Amino acid sequence: MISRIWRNTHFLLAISISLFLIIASISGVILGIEALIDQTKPQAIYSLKSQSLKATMEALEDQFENVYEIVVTEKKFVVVQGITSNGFETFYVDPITGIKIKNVSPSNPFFNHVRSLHRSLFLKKTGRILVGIVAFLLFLLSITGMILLVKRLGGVMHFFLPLKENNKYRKVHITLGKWFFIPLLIIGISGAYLVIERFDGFSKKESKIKKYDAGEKKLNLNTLYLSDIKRVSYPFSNLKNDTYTIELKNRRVIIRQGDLSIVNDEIFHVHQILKNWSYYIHTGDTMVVGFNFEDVIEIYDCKVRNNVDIYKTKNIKLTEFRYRTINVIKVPGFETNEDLT
Amino acid sequence: MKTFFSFLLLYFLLLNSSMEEYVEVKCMLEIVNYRGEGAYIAISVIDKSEQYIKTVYVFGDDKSWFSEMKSFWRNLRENNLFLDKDFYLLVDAISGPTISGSERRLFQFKIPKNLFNSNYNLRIETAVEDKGYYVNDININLNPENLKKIYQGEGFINKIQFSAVDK
Repeated sequence: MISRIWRNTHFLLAISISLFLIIASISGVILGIEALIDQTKPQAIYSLKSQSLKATMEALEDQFENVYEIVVTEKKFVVVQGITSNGFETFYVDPITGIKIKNVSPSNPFFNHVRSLHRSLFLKKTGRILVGIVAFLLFLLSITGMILLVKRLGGVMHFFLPLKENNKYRKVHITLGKWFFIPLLIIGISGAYLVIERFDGFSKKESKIKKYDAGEKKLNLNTLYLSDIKRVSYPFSNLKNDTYTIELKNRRVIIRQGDLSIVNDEIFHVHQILKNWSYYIHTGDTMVVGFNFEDVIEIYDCKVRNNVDIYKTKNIKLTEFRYRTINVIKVPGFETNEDLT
Repeated sequence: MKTFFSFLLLYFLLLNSSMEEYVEVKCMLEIVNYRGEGAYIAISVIDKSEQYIKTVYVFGDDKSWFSEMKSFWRNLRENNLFLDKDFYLLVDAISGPTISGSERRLFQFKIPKNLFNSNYNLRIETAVEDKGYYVNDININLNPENLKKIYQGEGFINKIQFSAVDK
């Protein structure tokens, strides 16, 4: 009897969202192909994790008259807006050498349309809500399917055993269900989360803002790596009080030019980080490293400024920094005056 | 065929007229803190009767959302500027992505020198999907003095600052 309820739920869910799922899956495949194409383009940079912001800014300074903005996109492109010999331009660069790769061209209208279909079925707000509901139902569909499957197999223990089933279609359905249970779960829940976020599901939760006096706390651009960065906006003019805005994955820091002291440090609420994470895992545009709990700025505060340079030359990533600190410093050949512990 | 050639001539003239002198304007734009989709923004020079003379900058690269900027879109529609080849002649720079809440952008656009000091206005219109549309988020008379100040918009623009770039 209970099994029948599960079966009916599974069937009704499948019937009601099948059409939407077909649209979403086809458009999703096309978008996946787009992501794949983008990853093979020359402007996709794979050394973002070892490239510090400081080095990038210096390299760009050598190449261009004036830089306005550096953007690191989800597709690992480094985009620069600034003044070149041709005037104001937006272009992709190689962050290591600072050399321009090519100009940014408007995004492909075909993929834009597909994206619009995938997100909103061309129905704007209504469409987005609809797609969100469908994504959540997909999540439920895969759960009910899994419950039915486990019942059918006679327990979780039998999950990986060979299947005894004579009907060809059923056999395919069960096998595919086994394989794609986890991906479907992830796609459903991350898609639904993206829609909820989009409609201000958590608008009451504000991000934390800390303010600092001039010179109180400084930011070391050597310990910031491009993989952590989303956007760097340069100061408007040469005035001393003009600021850089550096947007990281989990926070936004505003620093004065000159002494690089922090004006304003805004830590995003966890739902924003979750949203980034959902986006990454849903689109596969980048590796799933959305959770960035490393406290980049605080590390700099504990008097290790000199040693950070050593790390840089040894090419040790910031993420490994905390845990390796003591071991690495004791390696013969490194001489430091400061006691790290 | 005749019309075709006259069109060619028109474009030729348009292209040639764009060879004239420009003023480069550096601009910093800060958006108010809101959540949701990014804002579509069009920066255009208009005359006293609200006719569009030239659009100098657009934020947002998906043209299917341009209709959210109603006035700007009406202008495109009335002048039949749907096709890319027509459209990009008028809009020098499509910047790429939209701007989201509380973000800041630094960019630069060109305004033909002859549009200054002659009763033209600089209009910045902003639109966010299901959050609203402001025709005159910023609307200032186009003269060098006005482009030295800092403004606060009435819609999604929190702060905007201009400065003419010396050549």
